[in-house]
Amino acid sequence: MTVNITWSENAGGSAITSVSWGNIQNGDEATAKDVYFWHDGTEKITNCQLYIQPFSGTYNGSASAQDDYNELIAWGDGASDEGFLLNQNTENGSSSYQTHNSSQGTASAPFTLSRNAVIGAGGAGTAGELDAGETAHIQVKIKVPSGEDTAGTRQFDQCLKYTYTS
Amino acid sequence: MIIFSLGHTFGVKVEFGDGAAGYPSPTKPDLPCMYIDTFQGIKKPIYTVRYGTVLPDDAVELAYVSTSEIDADTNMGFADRSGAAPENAAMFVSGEESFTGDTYSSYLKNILITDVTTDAIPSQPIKPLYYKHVLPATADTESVFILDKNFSRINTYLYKVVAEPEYDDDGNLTGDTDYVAVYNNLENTFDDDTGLLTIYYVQYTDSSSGTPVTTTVLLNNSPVYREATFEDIDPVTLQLKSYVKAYIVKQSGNYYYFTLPQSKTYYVKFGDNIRIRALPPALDDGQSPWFVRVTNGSFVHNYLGTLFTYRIPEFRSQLFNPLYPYKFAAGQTGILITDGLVKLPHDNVALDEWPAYFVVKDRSGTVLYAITTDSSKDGQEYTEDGTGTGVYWDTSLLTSYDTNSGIIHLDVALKDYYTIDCTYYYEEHYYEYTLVNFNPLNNPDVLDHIYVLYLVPEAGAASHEASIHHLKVGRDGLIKECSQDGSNGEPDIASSVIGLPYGRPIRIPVPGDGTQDDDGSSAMAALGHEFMCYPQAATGIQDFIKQYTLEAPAGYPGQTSTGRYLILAEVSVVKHQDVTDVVILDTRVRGGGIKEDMESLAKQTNPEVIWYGDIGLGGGMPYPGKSAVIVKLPCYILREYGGNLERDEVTEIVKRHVGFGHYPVIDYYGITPEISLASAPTGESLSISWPSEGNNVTFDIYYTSGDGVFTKHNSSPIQDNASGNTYTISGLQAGVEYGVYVQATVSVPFGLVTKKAADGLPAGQGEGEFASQFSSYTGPRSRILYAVVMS
Repeated sequence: MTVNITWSENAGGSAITSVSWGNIQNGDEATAKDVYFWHDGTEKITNCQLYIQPFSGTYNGSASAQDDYNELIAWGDGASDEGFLLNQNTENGSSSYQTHNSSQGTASAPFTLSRNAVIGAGGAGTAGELDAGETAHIQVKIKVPSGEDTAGTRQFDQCLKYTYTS
Repeated sequence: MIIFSLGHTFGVKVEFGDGAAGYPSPTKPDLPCMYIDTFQGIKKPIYTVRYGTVLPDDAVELAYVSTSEIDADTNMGFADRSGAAPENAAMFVSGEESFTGDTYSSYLKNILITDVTTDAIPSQPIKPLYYKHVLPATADTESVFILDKNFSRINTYLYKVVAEPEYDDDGNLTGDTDYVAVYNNLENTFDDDTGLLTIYYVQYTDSSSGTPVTTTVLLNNSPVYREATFEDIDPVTLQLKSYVKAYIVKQSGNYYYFTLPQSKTYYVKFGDNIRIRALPPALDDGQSPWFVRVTNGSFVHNYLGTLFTYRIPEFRSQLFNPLYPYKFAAGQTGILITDGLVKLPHDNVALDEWPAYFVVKDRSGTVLYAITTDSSKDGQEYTEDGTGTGVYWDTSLLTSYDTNSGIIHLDVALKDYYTIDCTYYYEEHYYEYTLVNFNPLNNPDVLDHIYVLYLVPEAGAASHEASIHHLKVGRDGLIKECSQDGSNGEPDIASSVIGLPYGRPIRIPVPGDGTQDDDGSSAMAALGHEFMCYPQAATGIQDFIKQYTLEAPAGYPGQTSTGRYLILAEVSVVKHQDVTDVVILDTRVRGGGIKEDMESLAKQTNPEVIWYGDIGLGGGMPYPGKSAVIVKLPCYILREYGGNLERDEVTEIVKRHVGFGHYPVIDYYGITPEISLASAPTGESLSISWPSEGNNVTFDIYYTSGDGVFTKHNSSPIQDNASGNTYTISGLQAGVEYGVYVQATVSVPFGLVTKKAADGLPAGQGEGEFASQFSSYTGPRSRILYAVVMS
């Protein structure tokens, strides 16, 4: 049986399929958004890894899905606190953001889900695993470099890949 | 004897033989019965399914497929932002207030004023009444009632009937009644999308002629107080006459000042319709251009001592006809509400001021009634394209109307399939913005953009000829087009803003699908993210909203005296329909298809129309498969090839066994030598040739000299030659025409042996076994070749 992931803005809340950030001016950092996800399997899912990829839906941005992805990666390469940022320490009270750049946070070098992002786990357990009934809580934010001078809409996908047993 | 039993799709079992010819016959059960392969090609007829709006003559309609027609109400989206100016906010202008005196000031010019209220009753306080329906002075006030759409009297508390006194030119009472006014706040409305109808009638009795006559007319309101005209002004004092219900309005500073005829208690109402705001098109059907309307309002706004006047100066520059503020509407289609009630496409119709014409036709276009308010045409024949119709203009059939709602009442039994062509004038209350046609059928560009309609105010003493402009904003939030090019005296910003951000996310994000890829036991779930980035330049324009509009945050240029533009609306056009909205009417079912009076013609044109349930038999007609069956048979079953059956007999048998509607095409196959002259028939000999037919075939040559008796010429069978066969008949008589043909004899393995060995099985073949060579047969012969032999 297929195991499905539910994304939400709240623990146990309604499912979402997208996150709209509105306008982020160059040099600005958007307020972090909380993202929760869980699965409907009866067994734990393993090898949970987070990364970004070009937008896979119907693209309505200003350039192309690949260009937006490349730009986001380039922003992360330019500075460690720019681009798309991920905090997996939401449940241990700290705030340590990981930057998506060409060497991490991509499909080939994803971030392993930290147990510090699992509600109620207290950091215990094997990294990359999310048990049945558990909810992961991450925070994400976007910072646009001050030197960015191209106006327009950007789109990208944040992905969770995982392994399950049926 | 041949028996066909058609199998499923392929395979025809053929049993043949008559015993006497050496072949088995079913009528002789002890004789062997042979099964042979035949070929049956089944090809369904080719139907061309055609989609179109016009039916070709040779076609049979299957179904009507349609989606609901687009209309502006459904497909246009309005984000009303006109309330950004407090003076224009709905909350601000939607209330009412009272004052005592003869002057009043307001930010707004278009307000309702009254000095009439309902009478207080214990359960209800007094309520101002802002509208009046005027009845003749001879109407008996005690007989006046307002009726609802069911012709039931409504509560008398909701209106007030007053016989207004008449004054002479000196302002003295004459003692007569000027008119009877029915003061009220009621409104006739009709929503053509929902069919929701609110309608009121006024009923009164007039006994002035001696015989009481009771009349019922549609409620037709006008404001209790209106802006004064010349006849309301005293020519001596140049002040308002004290008894008129009119006011003078002037602008001073950021206020409009209203002067009233008497000092008393008045009530003022700010209706939502007096705000400056964008409204959907008046003509909103799929065929009409969709032009957004803007209410012709006006207000003044004071910003740090600078007065900004928000008004629509271009309102007066519209194409009025015959004069301001009227427009001409020709050939409009009235909407039939109920029997006798028709809604005209426009509100505020000027039926009292200008003539109107209503022509009622049936579905065939035959004119039934010609109705007009133009008394000069009464009794004249209505003509179309110069041709008389036999119908005469009639003024008596328009019994009443409500000019505000555009609802008219005709004394005609209207059927739902009648059309009402309406030509009339209407008073324009809106400015129609014609620079953008929002109908996506005419302007597909609207599907990919958001249009921002905004108003440029006049600052201080400045004035310009046009104040309404638009931006075209792409999906990326950037401005693609701006109509404000300075050509009407307003600041030219077009070149500055194109390519810059509008300043607000203007579309609904398209979400990621969130689905996962199930790759065995591994999967991925995606969450789409979307953001916009509008770079902040070191200097210059930030975005349109911050730079120019009232909505700019404090400290941005839009808040200064150079900006303060008012965004009226963000207008979008969307597709609302999906596959579930497709309507399919199967015309082959009962109730669909062809009109009864056209059935005979339809049957002649295309007999297949009898398949319709309405036209054919009630229980249905057999639906022919309409296939063609190709049946291939060995030609040696034919008598002409040595068999026992004529072609017609075979055809009859085959037809008897194929289904109704299947047309059999019988194709005979076999060894049929194609002979030709090998050389010129000279030397008193005749040489023929024919191709090889296989090594299991031998030939005999028959010839005749014209007496019809063929004689075999060869003494022993001629074995087939793989490289081709030739044969020469010598010793013939010069000058005589001879006929010659080649008879093939074939030895073939075929058939399942069902006969006992004692009945003639080849040696070595057992009962029930498949014979390697059961028999030979005299195969088909060639055509007869005739030639005159020369010396």
